[in-house]
Amino acid sequence: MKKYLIIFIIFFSIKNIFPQSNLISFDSKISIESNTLDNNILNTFLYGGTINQELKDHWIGLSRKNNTVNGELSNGISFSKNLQSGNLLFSIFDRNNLNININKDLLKLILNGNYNYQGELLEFNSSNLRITRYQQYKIGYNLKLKKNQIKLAVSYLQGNHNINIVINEGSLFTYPNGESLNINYDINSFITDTSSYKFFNSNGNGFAIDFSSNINFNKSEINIYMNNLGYIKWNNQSINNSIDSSYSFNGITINNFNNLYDSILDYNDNYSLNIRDQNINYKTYISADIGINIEQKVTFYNIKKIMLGINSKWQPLIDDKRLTFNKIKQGISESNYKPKVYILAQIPYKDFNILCNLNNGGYSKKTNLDLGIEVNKNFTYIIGSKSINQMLKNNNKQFFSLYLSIIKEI
Amino acid sequence: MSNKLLILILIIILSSCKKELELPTWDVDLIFPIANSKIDIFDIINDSSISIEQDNNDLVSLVYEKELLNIEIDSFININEIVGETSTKLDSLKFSRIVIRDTTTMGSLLNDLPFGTTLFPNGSSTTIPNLQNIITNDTVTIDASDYFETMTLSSGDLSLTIRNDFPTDLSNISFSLINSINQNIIGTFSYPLIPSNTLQTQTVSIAGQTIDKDIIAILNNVDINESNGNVTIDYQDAILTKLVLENIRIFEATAYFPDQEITQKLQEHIFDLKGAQIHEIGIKEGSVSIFATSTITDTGRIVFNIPSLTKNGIGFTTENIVPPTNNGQFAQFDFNFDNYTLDLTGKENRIGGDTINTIYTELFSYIDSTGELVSLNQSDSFYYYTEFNIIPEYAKGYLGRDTITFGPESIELDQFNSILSGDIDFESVELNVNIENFIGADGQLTFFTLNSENTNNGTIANIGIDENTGNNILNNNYLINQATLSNSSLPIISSSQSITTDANLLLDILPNKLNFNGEFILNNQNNINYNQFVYLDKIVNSNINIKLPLSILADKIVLQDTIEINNSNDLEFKTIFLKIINGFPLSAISNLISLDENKNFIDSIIHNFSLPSATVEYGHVYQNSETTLEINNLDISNSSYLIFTTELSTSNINDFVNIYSHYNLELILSGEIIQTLGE
Repeated sequence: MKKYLIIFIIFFSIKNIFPQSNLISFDSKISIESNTLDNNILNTFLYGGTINQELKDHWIGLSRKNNTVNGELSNGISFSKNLQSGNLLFSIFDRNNLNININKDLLKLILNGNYNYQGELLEFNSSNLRITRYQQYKIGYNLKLKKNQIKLAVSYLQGNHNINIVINEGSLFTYPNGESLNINYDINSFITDTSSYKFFNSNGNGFAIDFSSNINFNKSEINIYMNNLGYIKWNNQSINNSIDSSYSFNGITINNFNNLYDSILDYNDNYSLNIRDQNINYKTYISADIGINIEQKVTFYNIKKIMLGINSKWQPLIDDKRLTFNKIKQGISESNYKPKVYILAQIPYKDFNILCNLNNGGYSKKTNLDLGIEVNKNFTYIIGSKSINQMLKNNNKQFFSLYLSIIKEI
Repeated sequence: MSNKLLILILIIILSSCKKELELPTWDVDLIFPIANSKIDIFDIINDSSISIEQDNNDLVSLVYEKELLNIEIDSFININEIVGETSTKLDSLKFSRIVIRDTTTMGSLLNDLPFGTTLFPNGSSTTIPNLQNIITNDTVTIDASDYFETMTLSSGDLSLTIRNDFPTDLSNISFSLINSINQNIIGTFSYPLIPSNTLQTQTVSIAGQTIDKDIIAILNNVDINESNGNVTIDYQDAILTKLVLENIRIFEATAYFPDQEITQKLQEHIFDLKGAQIHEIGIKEGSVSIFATSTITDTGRIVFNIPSLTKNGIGFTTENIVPPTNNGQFAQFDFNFDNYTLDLTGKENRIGGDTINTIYTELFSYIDSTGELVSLNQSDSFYYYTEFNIIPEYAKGYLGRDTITFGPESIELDQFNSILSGDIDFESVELNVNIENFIGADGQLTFFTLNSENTNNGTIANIGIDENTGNNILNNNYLINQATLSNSSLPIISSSQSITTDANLLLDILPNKLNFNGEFILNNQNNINYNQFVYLDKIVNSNINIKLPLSILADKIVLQDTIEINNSNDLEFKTIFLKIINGFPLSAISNLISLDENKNFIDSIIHNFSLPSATVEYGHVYQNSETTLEINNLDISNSSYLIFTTELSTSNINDFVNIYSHYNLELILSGEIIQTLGE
């Protein structure tokens, strides 16, 4: 805790080091979005209750082949110092990410069991779950070159906790009346030291880089960026469990009715899960944003500025392969994020601005309206939601999002 | 202010959203295999008393074999007897002869006379005059403490021998022995004349006397007669006295008792073997215990020999110390005689030749001197006896004529207990009773009763005709020849007698008992033959063997079994599926009900479930039947018992169907459970 106090004191001392006009901001963001599952599910999973058959049928009806749930909770403080040639940037963020991709068959099995799927092959390939908590300490510089700008930043990542479960392959075939089960699975799980579970415990270290370039072009401004491209290497107190097997389960084979105990022993020998567990260190990637947008000042009704852009995420599952084009494709695919295309408009009013972003894609893989209000007083407040259309729904919300920024010029 | 208010509102809004996190719960419907098995007739017949045979065509036969009777005749040659009770009292103790000697020389005698040595110088030749009362009242104290402190004698002799080596005669010699403590005269001796160079002995009885260690010897008078002319005076010439105590028997004594044998008992003992005339017994387990008690304060010792009891050719001998005991306690000495051989022909080279049923023993008892003064009394005694406990391994000799009855006895048959009703018919049932004689003597076996009984309905079926002889088995005397040894040693070559009959009638009543009684007469001809033998681990065995080829005809045979259950399983099955692939030519209609702990009906779990027979063509199964039994909402949580009833019929109730060893029944058990997750 002392370490964080020192960082906090240094951060606020910057004001004295750089006496010129600077910005300090507090940013908080919470969002949970899914391409299929809605807030009923979230509420049920968060606050308990009984999942009845109607609800199960509803969820399974909503679900697609792959069902993504992504959750983010981040809070942080940023500081920007204006210098002659650009801006010096510092930030500290506490980030909590949840990213789940559940195959529809796995969802069916989890919710219903296998009874209703006798004679069917249920496949659970490419299901995964990632939960990560870490702190990000970033320092960067935004270099102003006449009309253009180049921003470079590096981050130190202090990993707290991580859970990573990947079902590479999985299938279950249930014979009629459950006479036999054909089971095939290849599951890898990683979890950081469970004996070290305090909130800010350090179980890993990593780094990330930011790069962006802002090019002025006539009245337009083109921004190309790649943020938070990095990884965390978790320490060797982490536990890796892997099970990989394929067999037909027929219950206890009783060869001798006079000695059932022997049969049960044989059964245990034949069907033991054979879980391989080991202490290892491993690497996970944080979710990187890669995108491009173009900003144009306009005069259209009250709209003063519009922006068109596309944003993609890159976050491969665990591997130690070198960076190749295939890995770039793999990272985009395994991020469970559909590249988001958006159009943003800034609509200024007397005491506030409205920031309106219509987009399609993302984890929800749907069209959403991101609406924020910027109020300029002594402080600048930005409050909004990335899915105001979903937030306004009474029920079946598939995207819950709130964000808040408080900015002060110092 | 407005900023602060805004922040406050935000905090209130955010905190108001907070709810306690909880896990949701939901039910999943799972179905999975529980167990599977493929069982054939070998698995189904789960009875240790039944073995399964198959012929060249794989037709299965069930063979029930059980020991019918095992005659034991060891009782008449078991030896459990006490022999050789012997008591030895102290009056039979010997005491050593006591000899006390004394010498009076002429020199010492003349020295005591006035001018004796002057008048009769040594070596001179002179005439010795008549010297009256040369010795009077000469007292000498005899110390016998090297032998005893005191003795009171029941008998004993005291003798005094006087030898006169003087050159002249002695006369009027008078001698007395007096107990120094009570001044009693132990004995007096009187010699009127002892001529020169002669000796005289006198003996007196000292029976009843008490003699202490200090004895006063008084030479009351000695006269020297005149010599016959001149004689040579030699001062070394002497009068020699020898006092002897002998033939002593004591009432009581405090003495140094010498080592001595108290008694020896060399005797033959005849065992009562109830008509058997045995000359050798091999001991399987045996012990001999010697019990001894002694009131003698000295240490006792016994030596016990049984020359006829040998192991590896060495006769048995033992020597044991019997410490002084109080209050009649016995010292016990046990000897293990396992695997010894006992020769019962009596003492070696006995007069009259070898005999039977007789052992020869030697018992010697001693007291051992401790070298200390010991007080003994006439009533002190030494008592012992020997106890034989011998279980023979074998016996050789004439075994005697003996009638051994067996029964009425019953063998429980539980093989048909599960059958409640219905008709079952077997194409053939062969029953064999095999009687095997391991005794080296002829015998005769007779069954008075041999029948099967169904106690549930009170029916009894008697055994019928012996197919070997055509006689009725009951009351027929089956003579069984004697067994023989291979070159007079093991193994035994038994002789046997077999009874064979068709047992369909015995089994038709679905018996639960087999009853029999009869007798076995050993040496029924009573021809005395000393070459007979018996090894007691195998006497006469009789086994019953029922061979039942599984060519059967069953019509609604109802079997019932009660299963006690222990509900410890948390899994509650919504549905249980039992898939049965039947490869037997038998159909079944089954019911299963549950009962509570008081055996009250709770639920019918299976109701008239029909399992079709496999399809049979030309006497063989060519297609299995396949059926799935579905049991819904099985709840046996309150059940303590399950009663399973099944009605079996062969695929054809008019012709016998064969059960072959390759027929099997495949069972696949699976279940559906509703499991609540998140709890």
